[in-house]
Amino acid sequence: MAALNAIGVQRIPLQVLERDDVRFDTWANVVLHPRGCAAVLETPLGWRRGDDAAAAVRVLSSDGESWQSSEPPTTLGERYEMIMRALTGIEDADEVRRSAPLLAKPDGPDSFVLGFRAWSLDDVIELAREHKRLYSGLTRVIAIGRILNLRVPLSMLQNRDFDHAAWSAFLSAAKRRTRLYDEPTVLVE
Amino acid sequence: MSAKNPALDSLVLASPGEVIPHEIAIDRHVRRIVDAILEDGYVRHPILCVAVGAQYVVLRDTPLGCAERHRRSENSAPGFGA
Repeated sequence: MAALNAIGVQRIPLQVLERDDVRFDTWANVVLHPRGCAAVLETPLGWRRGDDAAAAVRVLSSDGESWQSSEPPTTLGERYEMIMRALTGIEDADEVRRSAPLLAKPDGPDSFVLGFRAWSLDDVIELAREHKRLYSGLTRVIAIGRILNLRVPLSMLQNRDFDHAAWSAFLSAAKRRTRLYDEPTVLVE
Repeated sequence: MSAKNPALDSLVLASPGEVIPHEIAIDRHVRRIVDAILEDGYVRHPILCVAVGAQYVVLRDTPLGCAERHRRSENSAPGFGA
């Protein structure tokens, strides 16, 4: 969307999903950092041993120790601030890779897993409306019935005057090439 | 799973002011996507969102396909937010 704004489009093509067609989940970050998990554990979040899913932030070190931020946040804004504070600790990481939380494992001695309390769709909507934006690689969205290969001409998006007839004609033509994609989900117990 | 000829009723063209992102844009990704869109002359995939009142909150913001993004990211180093 930032790219489209940078180009200066007047219209942005959206697929509006029904909430029942969205599965919302969380990515864990597998981090490779020269200082290992100390990079995060030095941030002032009252770290203590544990792996409570209600904690805002959790760390799994390469030697198998689990740490969690101290008190579960009482508000979404507080939770957001804690997460953003933890993420500042890995801004100079050598590598950050996203992984499904249940599958995330440290890759080696300087590696650790940074996990987060699971997001709900309502959480993310509330944050967005308060202009509290998250770093990419935190939220995982699985959509049922994605429309792919739409190919909306840039000229149509840059036109100051919205041409309903042209849009309708475009959609009629697009039906022949677009693809409806139900994203596969894998559940690991 | 895929099917041809989907109903396209869920597509809208919104003005930028109606659309609220939920993620921080990464400059190098933005530059790469700008280049790709200008080169192609079209936006390949619609941006996924949910309606919230008179606005739309973006859930997934992928105007390019995965293969294109990887092909066009040769100069981007792996790292935070990659």
